[in-house]
Amino acid sequence: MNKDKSVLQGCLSTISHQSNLMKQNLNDNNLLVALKNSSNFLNELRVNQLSPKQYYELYISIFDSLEYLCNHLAGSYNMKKKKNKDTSFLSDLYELVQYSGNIVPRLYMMIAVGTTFISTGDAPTEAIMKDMIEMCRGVQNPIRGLFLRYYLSQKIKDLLPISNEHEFNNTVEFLINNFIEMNKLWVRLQHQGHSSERELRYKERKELKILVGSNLVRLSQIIDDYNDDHYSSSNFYMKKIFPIITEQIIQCIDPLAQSYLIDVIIQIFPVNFHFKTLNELLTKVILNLNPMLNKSELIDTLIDRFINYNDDEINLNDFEKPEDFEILKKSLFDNFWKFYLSLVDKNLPIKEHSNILVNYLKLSINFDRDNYENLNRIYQFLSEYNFDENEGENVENLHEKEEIWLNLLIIPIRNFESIINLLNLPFFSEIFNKLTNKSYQKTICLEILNKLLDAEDIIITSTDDIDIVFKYLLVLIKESTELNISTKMGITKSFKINDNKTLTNDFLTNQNKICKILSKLNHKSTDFSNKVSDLIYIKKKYLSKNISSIILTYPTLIQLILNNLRFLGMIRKSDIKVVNQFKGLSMILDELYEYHGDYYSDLIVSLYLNLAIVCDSLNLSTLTFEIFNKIFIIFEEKLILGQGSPSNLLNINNDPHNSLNYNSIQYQTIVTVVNKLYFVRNLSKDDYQSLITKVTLYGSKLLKKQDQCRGVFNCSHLFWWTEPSPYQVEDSEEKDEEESKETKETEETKETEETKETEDHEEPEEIVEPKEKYLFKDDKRVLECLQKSLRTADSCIDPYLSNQLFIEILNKCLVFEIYGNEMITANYINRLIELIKTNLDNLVDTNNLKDNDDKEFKLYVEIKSFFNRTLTFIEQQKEDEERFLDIET
Amino acid sequence: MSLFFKAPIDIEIRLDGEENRSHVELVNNQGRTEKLPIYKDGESVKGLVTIRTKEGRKVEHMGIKVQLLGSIETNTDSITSSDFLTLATELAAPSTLTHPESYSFEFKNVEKQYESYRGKNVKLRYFVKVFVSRRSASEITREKELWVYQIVDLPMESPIKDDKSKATTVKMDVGILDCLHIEFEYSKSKYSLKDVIVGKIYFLLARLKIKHMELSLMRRETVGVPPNQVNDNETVVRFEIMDGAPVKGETIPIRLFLGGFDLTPTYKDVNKKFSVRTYLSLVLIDEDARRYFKQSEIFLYRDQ
Repeated sequence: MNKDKSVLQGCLSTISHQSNLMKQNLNDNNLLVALKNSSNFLNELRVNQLSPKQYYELYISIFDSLEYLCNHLAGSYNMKKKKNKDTSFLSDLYELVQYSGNIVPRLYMMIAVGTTFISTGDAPTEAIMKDMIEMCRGVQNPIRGLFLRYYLSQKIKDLLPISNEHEFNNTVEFLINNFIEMNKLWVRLQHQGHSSERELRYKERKELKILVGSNLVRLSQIIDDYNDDHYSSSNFYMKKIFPIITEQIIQCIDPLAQSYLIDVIIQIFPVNFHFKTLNELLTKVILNLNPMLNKSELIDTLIDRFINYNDDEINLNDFEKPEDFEILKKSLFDNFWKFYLSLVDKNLPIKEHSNILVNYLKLSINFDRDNYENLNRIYQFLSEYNFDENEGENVENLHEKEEIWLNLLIIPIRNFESIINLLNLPFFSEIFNKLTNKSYQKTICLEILNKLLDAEDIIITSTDDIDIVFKYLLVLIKESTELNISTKMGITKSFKINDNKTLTNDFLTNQNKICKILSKLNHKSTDFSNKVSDLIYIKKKYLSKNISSIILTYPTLIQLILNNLRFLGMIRKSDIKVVNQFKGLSMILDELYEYHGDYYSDLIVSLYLNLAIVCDSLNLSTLTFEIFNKIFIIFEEKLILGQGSPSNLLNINNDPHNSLNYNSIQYQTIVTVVNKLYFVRNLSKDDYQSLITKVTLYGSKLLKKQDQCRGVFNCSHLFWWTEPSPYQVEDSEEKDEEESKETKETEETKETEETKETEDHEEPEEIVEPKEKYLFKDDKRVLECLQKSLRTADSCIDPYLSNQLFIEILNKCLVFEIYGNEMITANYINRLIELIKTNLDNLVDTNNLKDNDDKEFKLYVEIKSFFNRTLTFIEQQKEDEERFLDIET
Repeated sequence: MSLFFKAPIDIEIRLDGEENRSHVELVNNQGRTEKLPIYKDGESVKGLVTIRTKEGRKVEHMGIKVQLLGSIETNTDSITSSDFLTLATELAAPSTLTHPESYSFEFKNVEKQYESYRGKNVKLRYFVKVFVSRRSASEITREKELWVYQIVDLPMESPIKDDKSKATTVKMDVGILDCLHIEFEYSKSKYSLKDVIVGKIYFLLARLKIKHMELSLMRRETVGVPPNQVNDNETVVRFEIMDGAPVKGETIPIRLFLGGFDLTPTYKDVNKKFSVRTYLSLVLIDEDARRYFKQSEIFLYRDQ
């Protein structure tokens, strides 16, 4: 390599030396000496040892030097012409340079002089062109020949005459001739030298390809530039150019030449030419190329060209389009398909099949977006064709084949407008079902799912559509939850759903997406009953297929049905059908409870509560009552014993002093129930009282003191209605569509979720005017509840907790005082305040609270400040609202 | 003529219109360039001889004559010379020269059968020779060489009688068994000196690893008759016509301009003493520098 480098350097320095001499002699008007100089530097081009790249360096350097010579000659020609002197020296020179004993310098000189001569316009152009191209045959060394002919084509490219038909034909012939010869040399290069250097040759040839291709480029420009009355460039191409050059390409057998040149043809000639020659190009040319060649790349390029053309088509005016464009367009796919069928006989590698078919899909997508027939054709072929004819069915082939299928199924999903039409193709599903690799099926389903989610329009409009789509989604619904190693090892994040079930994050996400689909179901329609029946249909036929995961989908389903039923109920009040549908919904909840009650009873409770509230708002009091009873059953069955929800509940920071932070699931359930029950308005008084009594009882029987205390004082509200129920409003907005969709992954998120839920329910209602109605009030029972709470608080061993609870009760008392409960008197409150004050003082004394870092001291400070805030509030109320005037702080 | 005696007279030979004639330039053995006037066959040789005495001396002479000679000199083993043309004219009767005298001479329409030629072993010369005879001393002579061209107007009227085919193409088919098979074709077998050899070579089989191919023109000078014949070969032109190895089916064009080279027309059996022929060879050189060639004679002639 180093030796080559020094050879190159040697050549280059000779060239530069001789070309300087040449320039000097030209300036001194020593033309003959100058020619000798140029012949000298041209001799360097005879060198053997250089690689094509290095040779190219020589070529460039020589090209520049010869350019200087040419310009000088042209200059002196023009000067002589101006002075009306004899200008025949160029033709003499053309002969003179041919005395050079070595062929390579001789031909370069001939071309340099010859083209300069032609450029003067006074030369016998045709004869010189013919002569030059003919004489170039003498250089049979591939690299030298290629560069020589490249020099010829570079020098002549702007001089090619096309002013009449004769000239044009000659020019085309010239270019084709040069192309053919260059191609031959190029192909021959492969067989030069030792066979061990084959790879190197291949690489070198790749570097030289542009030299050969340049002829075709010029050819395409020429046939575009030529203009004549009866001339049509595409016809000319079809008749005079295409057959000759493709014949040449086929004949040369060489894979590199074939792939590159066909690619060039595809790229440089306009697409409307390809429309005309497509059939020939495919079945006569590409089909006959070297069997080693990957035809898919060519198909890829060709199809890309068509696609780009089609994209630009809008910008074309009619003139530029082929006359029968529409017809051609229609037959495009047919042509390609015909080609493919004949290609298939040639024992194509699987990869090739795949690439070609993928391109066909692209073509189909681009040209005929609404035509699913072509797709079906592809899938039919896939399902019927036996790829493994010769290789035998083994695991690897099968895997490869399915990978192709997968790809071919996914592309249209992503690109075609109507996924329903696509999924409905008989052979689409056939291929899908043939996939033995379940993860591929899953991938496809996911694509479908995402596509559905991305769509803005309503996609699923009928029961048929539901079947089409969910047939595929069922795969995701039924997905086996077997874990792979990485999940088992804990590398991939996973979640426990039941004792024995662990789910991956992916699975959760998928279920989540299915839920989103449910909510998109025909979402703009106002035919609520139809929607309800669709949802129930889906539930029966698909969602229920995987019982273990219904906990992830049912909540959404239930909520959706509930929303629709609510509208339905508002339209057709107490219609027996509506009542039955509510019952049906309740059955779905029962089913959910049956399978998941052990772990998700809190979630199920809140669903029941939603149902109850809606029932109540529609005045279906019997149903409401029954549902509450069901809730209590769940409470007793699953919650009282501390079960009924995932064990990760224990992770919560268990600070009993913080009323917001500290929650047991039982306490939380009580609060939720109280929240809803508080707004139930349409029950009979007896029913209501029996319900609230029960809740209060449950509250007082909670496991821990602080839970009991708080449970009871929260329940006290149930006995003292202060406002009309927000749920009774006729046209309340649907707010909670999004809710309960999120499967609660940890208890923490669940909590925030629930708080949000309650807020969501309450917020919009405040705008609505309250209706004057009977408000249930029982002051005695309220007092009883508070007393009970006080007693429980007092019995706490932890003095801090006890005082915390006292202050909380004090706040409750203040609320009831505001809402006019006569039993909660100022005196009562004063006593409570006094009690707290004393207790707090005692705390300081007995425990000697001084150290700032002490945990107890901190607790004390918190409680103290809570108390102070309460007192401040009272004082403010006194000033602002003239309340609590009798209360002493 | 002798180193010791300077000739008492100067002889000057001037040919009519010499300045306007075309000349040939030749490089003689001493490396000096000579310029010689060109004459054609049948052309008269006219001129003027001027004799001057040196330093005003009186020179007695026995008569002055002028000859036109054509001679062939060979130096195969010893230099021998034979005249094939001798023409003589008396210029002056014996007398005494005191002042410069001029005598005109003319050889009318002299047939000059051969061309002038200077080869390695043979020379064909034409010259005018002036003799001044003296009584006691040796003759004083003076020579002036002419250069003669034989112009053949048309190849059709070729002077060579045995050539039946008139300017037809020459085709040859040569090869090495299983290795190489080529056909080549020259446009004709007779070329004027300013002609162009045009032809092509068609490779029917090319398993040889050819590196390049060239044409060469070789001049062969043959002197004497067998068995004492002496040959001299000189390659006048080497001209590469192909670079690299062709494949089967390739056609390589040939074009060789002859005008720029120093070629000699074909002379056959000039005065039974010598011949000059030119051979055109096609030479193939393979990668191991072996040379394969096919030689064929071409007939060269001089035209206008």
